Amino acid sequence: MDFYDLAYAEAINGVSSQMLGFKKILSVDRDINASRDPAKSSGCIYIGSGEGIERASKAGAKAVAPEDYRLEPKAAAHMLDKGTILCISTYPIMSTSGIKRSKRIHFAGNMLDLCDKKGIDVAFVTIARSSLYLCSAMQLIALAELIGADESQARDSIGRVNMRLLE
Amino acid sequence: MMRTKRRYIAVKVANLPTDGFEHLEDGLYRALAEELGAMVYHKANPKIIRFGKHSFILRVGLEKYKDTIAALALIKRINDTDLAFYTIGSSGTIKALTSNPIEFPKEKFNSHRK
Repeated sequence: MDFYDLAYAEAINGVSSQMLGFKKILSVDRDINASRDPAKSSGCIYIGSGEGIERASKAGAKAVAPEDYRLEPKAAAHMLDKGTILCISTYPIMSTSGIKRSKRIHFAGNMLDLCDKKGIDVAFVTIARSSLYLCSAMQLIALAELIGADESQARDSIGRVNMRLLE
Repeated sequence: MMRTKRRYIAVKVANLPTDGFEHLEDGLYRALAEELGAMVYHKANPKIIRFGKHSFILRVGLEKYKDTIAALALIKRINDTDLAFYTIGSSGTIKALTSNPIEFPKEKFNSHRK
């Protein structure tokens, strides 16, 4: 299975996606448009938090990436209706340490549980802002397992679901 | 006593300082212990067994090798040096890893520590 990741252009510069085990590392704003305004996120990936997640999924966002790993059941219902993908970014976990990191892993796990129950597609991506925060496909699978996914779900997410972001 | 099963992980170091990685070896073990916790670290028992130019091979216990791969992804700083570790392969034998296009020296690494 081919694996895909999503990161900012400045993180990808000079990095070989094949070396990291990905077919391609998708670039934010080049391969997929990103928006921080929920009202203008139709067909884009919305990166934000709070009420914006619900508003973005209502507006027809292709994917949403909650930075605070909080997903309200109401927003999840809208996402299921519209077929919105939930992106779990590893950047907020990698950029912290200690108790704060543990809490973020816990919240990401809760969000994953909710999506599993509702049947929402989950994409594990780095959304790295610098090359230091990129990781290999193997590491992304291990991080997905750390969050609570099983190996087959993690592989499916990094392969099939991440490719859906490109479509 | 049962033989310990091991796994070998090929790791590429990004943003490597010009003086190489070898002097950061102890720092890596400390960082891994911090990320894994003492109990898991004891079971993983990580040890660098071979250095390449920008890469190394880490030997870990089979039971905890996935935790070690996740921990390597989370380490971003060692001894005030910003760097990243990309896990590029894992295998049950060293031979399978060194046959990859990544360059690893054929001779065994002699640790700089006495």
